Amino acid sequence: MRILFNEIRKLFSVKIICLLLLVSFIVYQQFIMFEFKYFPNGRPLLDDFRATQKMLVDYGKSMDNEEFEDFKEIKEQRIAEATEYLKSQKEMVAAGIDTYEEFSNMDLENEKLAALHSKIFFEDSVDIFWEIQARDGIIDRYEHPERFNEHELTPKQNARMDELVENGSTKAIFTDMVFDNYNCLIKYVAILIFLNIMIIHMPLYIRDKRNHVQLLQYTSKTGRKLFSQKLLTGISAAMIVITAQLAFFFFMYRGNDTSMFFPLPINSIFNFFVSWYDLTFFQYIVLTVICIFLLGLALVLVGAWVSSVAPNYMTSVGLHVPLAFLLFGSGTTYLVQNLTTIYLNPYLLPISFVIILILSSLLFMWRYRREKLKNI
Amino acid sequence: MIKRLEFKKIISSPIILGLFVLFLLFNCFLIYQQSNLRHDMKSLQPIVQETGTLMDEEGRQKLQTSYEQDLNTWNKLTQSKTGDTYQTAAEFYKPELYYSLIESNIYSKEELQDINKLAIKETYVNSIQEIETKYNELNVMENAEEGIRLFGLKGAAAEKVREQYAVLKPRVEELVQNKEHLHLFFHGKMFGTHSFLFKTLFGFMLFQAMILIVLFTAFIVNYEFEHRTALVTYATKRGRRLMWDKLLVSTFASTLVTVALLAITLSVYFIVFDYSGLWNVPISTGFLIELNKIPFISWWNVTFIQYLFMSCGLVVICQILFVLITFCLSMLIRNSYIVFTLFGVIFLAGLYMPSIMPKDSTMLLYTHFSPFILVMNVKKWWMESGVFTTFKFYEVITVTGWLIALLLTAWFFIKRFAKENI
Repeated sequence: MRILFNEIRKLFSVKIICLLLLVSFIVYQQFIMFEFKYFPNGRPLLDDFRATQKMLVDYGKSMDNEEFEDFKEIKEQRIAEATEYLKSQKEMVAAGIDTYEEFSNMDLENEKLAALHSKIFFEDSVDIFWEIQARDGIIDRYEHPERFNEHELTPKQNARMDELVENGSTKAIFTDMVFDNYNCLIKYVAILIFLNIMIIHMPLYIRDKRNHVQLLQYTSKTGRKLFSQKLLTGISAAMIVITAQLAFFFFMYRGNDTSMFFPLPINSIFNFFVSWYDLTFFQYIVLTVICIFLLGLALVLVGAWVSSVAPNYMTSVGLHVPLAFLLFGSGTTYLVQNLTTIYLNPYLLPISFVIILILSSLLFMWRYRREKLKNI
Repeated sequence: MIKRLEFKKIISSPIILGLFVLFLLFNCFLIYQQSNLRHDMKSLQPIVQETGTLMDEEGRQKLQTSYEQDLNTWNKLTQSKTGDTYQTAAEFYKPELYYSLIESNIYSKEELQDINKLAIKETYVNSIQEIETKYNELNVMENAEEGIRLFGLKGAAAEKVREQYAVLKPRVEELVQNKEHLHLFFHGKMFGTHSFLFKTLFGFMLFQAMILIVLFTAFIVNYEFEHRTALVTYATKRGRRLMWDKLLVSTFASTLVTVALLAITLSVYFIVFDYSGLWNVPISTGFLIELNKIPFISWWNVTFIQYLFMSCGLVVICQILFVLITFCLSMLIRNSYIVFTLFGVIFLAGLYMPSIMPKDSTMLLYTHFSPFILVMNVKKWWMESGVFTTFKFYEVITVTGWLIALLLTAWFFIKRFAKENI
């Protein structure tokens, strides 16, 4: 236990912690903050988000037909309000546009009318007009729940789509904005976490090798055990980093104010993403977190192996380059983002995790057995 | 002798060689993915042989007659086969007719290839007029205003941008007068060769070379410390001067690696894609315009081959800048993998700098004069490249400025190292 503690202290030296903070800061600034700052991004999306929030308050988790009628009625009210607004605008009346009907059918080729149109939307940015647009979008999606062309899907996928309609999860009030935002964020957070793990684990074995203390250590039985002890250290360090990073991320994510969406099923028609399983948004988040932990574990095993075979830091970093390329690219796309999507085989996810974990452990075990008997 | 041994340290490390081969394989894979375009691209060469690349009145006439001839031949064939005639080759591909024709196997493979070639020729013929009107109506000042509005530039920064575009304006007039825009080249909207070659391929090569260079520079500079030979080597006066050798060798090796990577990848590229007859086409030709419809306006009248070599040269010089940056970092930090990480941090910070500048200060524009931003936009080197980097000598100023500053810094560090306590 004391060895473990001391080893962890060695990994988290002040220099390394500063480096990690620096890397995290720059990655947050470059890639992550944008999704926090501009959520929802732009005008019709903001109104869409507000309308969805209002739906949640008024109708609860899902919207049945009766509530949908009510929703449409609110839109009619808004149209009436918009007409009122148009009537109160002198230039609009002068241009012969005094109902919303006429406004929406306006001839935008006509420069003068186009100017009036953009004045309402962009200069005065009148909320009602944006809201009507957003509500139109929602109504359109509710009335046309078929998201994909049937012919493009396999029978199994079609069966899944039918099942979703039957069990009513399509009618849940969820929104793709929240989902896409999270999906995008979690990729960068995962990349940042993996980057941190790589930086921390680089010197795991190399440092002792370079300092030639292995000569001392390996002459005793406890010293030989150090190899597995160090792996344990690596795993604990990785868990600390992942937990800290995720904690910070979710603390920041609270600012997006999406907690009311947590208990809702993600397979709603208002979301483009379809999963093989009936997950709620919260369950989906938990799933991504589990995947990050598992991938982090595999990365520690591979990183430890690299650190134990590489004669110097150059080789170690060099070996990490293709690894990072794979992990940050397709690794996060398939194993952190869009989990259990209907487009991929449902068994792909568990099978790839099993394979990755087995292979990385075998790699490490092979090294471990050799290290135990190594002549120095 | 010393230099040779230092060089050996780089060359004899399997990881550098291994990564180099891996990168080359990856580039070949990228080219392979793109290679299904090569047959359609090839149909340009016969056209060029017939009419030349310049599409002035004469060339256009030639192309038009040759196209009409081909269409006539094709129509004779179709009349005998199905009784149909076509006004344009594109008509053949209308979905309601095309699929039934293909299914009934009326046309042989060769004949289908002929119509495909004809359709491509037609695209070139039809594009000429479009390009000519586009360039005649082109007003770069409007583009500048659009960019200024889009990025919300104000005050001095906006003024500076207008100034630069005012310099560009006569160049556009000259370009149109020289008829640079009317040279036949691989159609950008169909093939996107410029983006593939100068964005995808050059982009990857830049980063690949950069990774290798930062790795070995950090490695050899700190080699003596990591191998516990520092106390011996740096005990003498000559030993202290070893840093010069290390710097020279890294620079030499970086040039070697970059040139090798460029040479091999580009040879594969030009073997797969036939550019014969097109080497001397001006790079500003309107046929290069891609789906985003932004014209390529180079600051000078350069041909494709000149442009290619200018870009290759700039890549090599950029890599030397990276050697110097890594060298300076390694003189400060004696741990090669931290140097590597810090280099990445500095790179990202360089990209991030402009976004914290106020929108109305010229500093916003000057922060773009950094090698990090430079290497992100190879596609638009030596050209009009958006509001932030459209300066006539943007590339040259960036590179020389940084080169001088970094050389001075490196010199300072070496001098300091000569007297340092170890």
